[in-house]
Amino acid sequence: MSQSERNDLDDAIDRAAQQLVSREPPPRLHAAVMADIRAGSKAGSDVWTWRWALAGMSAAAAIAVTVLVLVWQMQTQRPAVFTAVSPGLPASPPQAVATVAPKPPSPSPSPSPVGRHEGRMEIAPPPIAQVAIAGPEIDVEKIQVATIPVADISVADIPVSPIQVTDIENDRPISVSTIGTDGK
Amino acid sequence: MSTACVTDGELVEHARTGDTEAFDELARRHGAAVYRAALAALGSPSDAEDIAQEALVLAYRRLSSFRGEASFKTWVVAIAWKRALNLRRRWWRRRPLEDERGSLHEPVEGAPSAEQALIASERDRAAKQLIQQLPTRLRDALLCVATTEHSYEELAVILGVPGGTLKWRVSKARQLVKEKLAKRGF
Repeated sequence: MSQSERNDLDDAIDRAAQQLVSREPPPRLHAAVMADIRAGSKAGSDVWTWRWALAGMSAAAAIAVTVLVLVWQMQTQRPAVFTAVSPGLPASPPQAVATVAPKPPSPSPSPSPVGRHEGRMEIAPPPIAQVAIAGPEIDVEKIQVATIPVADISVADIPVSPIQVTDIENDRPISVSTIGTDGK
Repeated sequence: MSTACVTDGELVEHARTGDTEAFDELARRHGAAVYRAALAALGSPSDAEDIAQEALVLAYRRLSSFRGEASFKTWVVAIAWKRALNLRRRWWRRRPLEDERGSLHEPVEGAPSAEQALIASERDRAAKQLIQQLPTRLRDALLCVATTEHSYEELAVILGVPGGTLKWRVSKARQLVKEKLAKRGF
């Protein structure tokens, strides 16, 4: 292909491409645009306002649904089960789970009162560590803790030595001299 | 307000305040470029007219978002281009195979248009056909350049491609058309 033929083809391509896009816009285009803008500015803005309003409402609805789902998930979460086991004691069987009511915090620092009762020493459960759980509310009533097995503790009887007390009647009587009878 | 010697930027500022006369002048200045861009993308004069109208009205309503990074002309033509591409994609969903075969643009021979009467030679007609059958990216680039409305830099912004990519596409389009013309004996 000679150079002049190449140029002819280039020219043909340019002409063809320009013919495809070199149309003048119809005169009614400008008039239609300005009519839309002038007369339709209010209606058009109404349309756009509605579109924005609809978009806003859709977004708000989506956010609301998301929040509701999150709240529902948090509320339907199973309450946490805390099993307090004293160190060195066997773990309790799973059926020995009791529900305990929450106790008000005691001001006393002695959390393990010991009492004697039929040869068994009841050891109060160790204080449950306060677990920080992120969330709006924790239903404390539903927290279950396992019963803590208590080992038998045998306590020997305390030997008490007898105390001898002298009878009062055997004491020597106290002699008291009569006042004013000494002859002075 | 006399708008003959007013710059586009000044007209935009006036139009932003609700001055429809200012936008009237902007539309008068750049309406043809908007229409031709739509025509380059769609190939159909009636669809191009619809898209141009939509784009100009939309540009007026979105003037507040025009930041002046590009010229007003580039901005409004880019709006028209994007809307035209959206319409073209909807066409593709309806008739993808037809478009791939190049029937998006109606064959020139069968169209009883004034355009056809102006075509002087068989070679020009063949060139038109071949351009219409180009892959869309190459065809878009070639036809946008052919509008002679924009510089390569402006077209790169409008089409959303790097300038080098745009130049390569134009060159590739020309090469393909030339090869096919040569095969047809031209």
